[in-house]
Parts: sequence; structure tokens; C-alpha cells
Amino acid sequence: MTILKRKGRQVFWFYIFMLPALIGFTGLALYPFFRALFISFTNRTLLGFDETQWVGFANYLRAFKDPYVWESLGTSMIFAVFSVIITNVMGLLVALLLTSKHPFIKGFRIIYYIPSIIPGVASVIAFGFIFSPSQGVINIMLRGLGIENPPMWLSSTKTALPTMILMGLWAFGGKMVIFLAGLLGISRDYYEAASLEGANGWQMFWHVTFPQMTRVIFYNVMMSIIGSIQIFTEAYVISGTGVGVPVNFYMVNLYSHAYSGEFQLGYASALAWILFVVIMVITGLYNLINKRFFDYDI
Amino acid sequence: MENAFVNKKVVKRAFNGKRLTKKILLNVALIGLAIFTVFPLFTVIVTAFKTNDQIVNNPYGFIPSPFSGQAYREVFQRFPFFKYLGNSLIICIANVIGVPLTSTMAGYAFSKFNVRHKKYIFLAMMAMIMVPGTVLQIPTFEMYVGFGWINKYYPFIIPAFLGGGISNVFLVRQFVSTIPRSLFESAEIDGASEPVQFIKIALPLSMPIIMTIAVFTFTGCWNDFFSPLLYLTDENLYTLGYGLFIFFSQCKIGTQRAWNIICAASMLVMIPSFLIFAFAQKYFVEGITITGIKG
Repeated sequence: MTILKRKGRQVFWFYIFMLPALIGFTGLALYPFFRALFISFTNRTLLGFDETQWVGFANYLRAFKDPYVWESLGTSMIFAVFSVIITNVMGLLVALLLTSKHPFIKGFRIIYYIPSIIPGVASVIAFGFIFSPSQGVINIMLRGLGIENPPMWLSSTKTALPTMILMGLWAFGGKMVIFLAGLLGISRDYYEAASLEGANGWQMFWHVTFPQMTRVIFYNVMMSIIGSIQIFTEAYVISGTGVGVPVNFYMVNLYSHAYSGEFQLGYASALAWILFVVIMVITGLYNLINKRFFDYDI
Repeated sequence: MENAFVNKKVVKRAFNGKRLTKKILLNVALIGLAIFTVFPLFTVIVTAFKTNDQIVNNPYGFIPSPFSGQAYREVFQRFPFFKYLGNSLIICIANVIGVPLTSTMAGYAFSKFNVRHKKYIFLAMMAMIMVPGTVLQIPTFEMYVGFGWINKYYPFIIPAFLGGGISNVFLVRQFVSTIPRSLFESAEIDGASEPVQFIKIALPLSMPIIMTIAVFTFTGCWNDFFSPLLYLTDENLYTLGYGLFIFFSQCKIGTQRAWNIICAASMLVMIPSFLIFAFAQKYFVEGITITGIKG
């Protein structure tokens, strides 16, 4: 086969096999990405296509001037910070536990992962009931212990956010599994060399385990940040069903502007792009910090 | 001599004691975590067996004294379970067919064929992964509304057949690149065309990653709450995940929330996810591993 013929054949089949994915990528990723940027500079709503006008930075100014938006960003970020730290530390610790020898280790691994396959609605149902101020198990036990005014958990604006962070802790299994895989990939030789030099458990962790895990930790934390700052389902279900008080999360606010009421797509797109920039900045910073202090391999 | 003997014994016992403590602590931790993890689900299961009276009059008792299937019966009366089940199945099966298929095709193409601008396409896709779904969701919604796709299943099914997500494509690409080229080359010498090479060599060898993608796709689709929330207002079209939410808000005994019926409904909704998980948990754990480690 001539080279030209072969090259042509490669091109032909590449695009044939890639066709669905390319259409999907163009239509559902590329186009929306730029379109969102575009309409964030307009007053686009679903109700008036012909009346869409260019408004420049008006949407962004409106967002910056709105204290509710700032509060929502703050809440989501606080949630993200705590969630990321708690979930990843927990995931790593449990993963470490799971590297020990125990007959039922695989079973435990499966059990810890179960929360990740539960639909968000169902976990809100479960925790809504458990944390119910009047009927929930937790408060029943607390009252049984003699505490007269147990916390209101999801039903009080003061305790709702911490309660939700606690709920997030429950799903440590997803992170744990990734950490575990990373841990199991560390060669035993390192540990043997370390114990020959007289290292105890703690030293071995800091000087062997941790450095080898940098990449995995980085990945997990990054994904956690991006994911938890966009928390929506739990918040929406909790306030939508009245299981708890509404908490002002960024995504919930964005949802209310984009997909209900006046369907203000332009303003909502501005909010979405602001969030995107915030996430970019955070992950960029995190990347820099990682490179500066942990320059092992990234 | 005597001293040495005694010393040895003492040392051995101390060593064993420490080992035993460690073992006990380990077990306590593992079992404690298991209880912590299982407890919310356990609550749901147990509550589903309470009678309506117990919910209204005895909210403090944790274990139902007569175990009753009343809640489960009422679920079927009050909640169009089978209709929603059918809806969810239609959508999820379509996704489980479409996503592995199109993402495998794309991943295979990325890995196997060399095309001049392949790198740019790859980079563009890599960049897009970092974009939060929120940004893309709004114009997509705008587009679907323009197509008239509200209260239809197109928004749920069409994307599944259009590549099913960039991460899946990358996963397949990664996997296929580990298949030795020689296998394909010898097939080509034997006269196998490209489609044949794909079907007879790549697909069978890629079964692990395809199964993983299928399993994750099913679970994600089954538990999906956001898409039905966005695109469905006709209650005949609701899926189980979303229908459960609506049911949760409305289900009451008198004025009180009917926790037992709600819990029973939750259990029913969760069963398929559990079944898939039970049969395919290998794919879940391995799949996450592959995704995380290659990152």
C-alpha cells in the first residue's frame, strides 16, 4: 500500500470512529462553552429570544454587587474547604487501615464504598430522618443521655452547614479507593530499606508513603475541590422537601436564576463563568503550592 | 544462661502484647467504620418496616415491634413505582448501550490512528474536562429548549450516543494503547479491514474497561437527579430517582411526614444499584483505581 493511501485510510477511519464523539464534543462541550460566555454578556432569557440585547458587563456587575451572591460563594467555599480536608484525610486514613492484613479486608472495602452508589435523594432521606430534631435517632440518643436541648441539625441555620459537611464525610469511600490503589502501588523495597535504617511506623509514613502518594493526593484533592464547590443535589433536596432550612449555596442560587422564575440565562451564565474562574484560580494556586513544596514528580 | 532465658521470654511476651493491642484496635476501627457507613442505610431499612401508627404515635421507638410490610404496600398504592421503573430502565439501558459503544469507538480511534491534527483535538478535550458542568449546562438547556426537547427523553439518550463523556474516551484510549500493535498488524496482513480489527481484536480485549464504563454509566444514570429536574415536568415521564424526590416532599400520614413509606420507596429505588454493585463490584473498584491512578 502506498504511503499516501495508508495515510488517507488512517484519516478516514479515524473520523469515522470518532464521529459520534466529535459531534458530542462540539455540540455539548465546545459550543456551550463559548455560547455561555457570549450570553453572559446579554440579557438572554428563555422568554424573549428576539429581545436579547448586548449588555456588556452588566450581569457581572449585578453579581458582584449582590451580597447574596457573595454569601453563596462564601458558603460553598467554606463547605468545599472543610469537605475536601475531612473527606480526603478520612479516605487516606482508612486506606492506610485497609493495607493491613485482615481476613475480611475486601469486605470492608466494599462496605465503605457503598455510600457512593446511593442516589443523592436517598442519602438525604436517610440523613434527614436520622438528624430529625424530633424523631431522629441522634437526638433521641442525646436526650436519653440527658441533654435537654440537642442541636437542631439541618433545621437550624447555625447548624445546617456543619451538618451537611458531616453528611459529606459519609462518602469517604470514593476517595479511599483511589488512595488505597495508590498505597498498594508503592514498592515494598522502600519500606524494607527504611526499616533496615531503623525507621519506625511514623517515620516510614512521612518519608516513604507520603512522598510516593503526592500525585494521588493531588488528584484527589483537586477533584474534591471542583466537585464540592458545586454541591447542589443535597442542598436542593433538603430545602425542597423541607427536611431542613435552605442553605445559600452558589449552585442553588444559580439554579434558581437559570431554571426557574424568569429563566435568566444571561445572568446565570455570568454566575457560571464566575464560578469557573474561581475554580481555575483555586486549582491554579493549589497546583503552584504543590509544585513549590512538594516537587516530587508533578 | 538463666538470665538470657528469662529475658527472651519477657521480650516475646511484650512483643505479642503489642501485636494483640494493635490487632484489637484495628478490628475496632474497621468494624466501627463499617457501622458508621452502614448505619444510615440500616435506619432506612428498619424504618421501612414500621406501621403508620408507629410513625405517628411512637416516633421515639427505633425498632418496630411488629415488623410490618404495610409501608411497602402503601408505596405501591401511592407511588407509581412500576411506571417510573420502566422510565428509568428505558433511559439507563439506552445509556448503557450508547456510552460504552461510542466512547470505545472514540478511544480506539485516538489510540490507533495517526492523524495530523490529532494532538489538537486531544488537547482541546483535555482542556474541556476542567470546565465545570455548570457552565456547559445552561447553553445546553437553551439548545434543548430550542429543539423542543422538554418532556421528551432525547436529552437523556442522545448525548449517550455522542461519545458519552470525555473522561470515558480517555479511559478507553489509555487502555487500548496497551494492546500490542503486532496483533493489529498481523490481522491486517491477513486482510482484516479496520472495522473487523475493531470488532474482533480491540473489543474483546477491551472488555474490562468497557464493563467498567458500563457499570458506572448505569449507576450514574440510575441515580441521576439533575437532568430529570431540568427537563421533565410531566409526571408520567419521571424517573425513579426524581420521582422519589417528589414523593418524598408529598408523602404524609395526616400532617406528619410518612417516613416509613418514604423509606420503603427508597429501598425499592436503591435495589437495582445494589444488585449491579453486588455483581460487578470488581469493576467499580478497579474502575476508580484506573481513573485515579492514571491522573
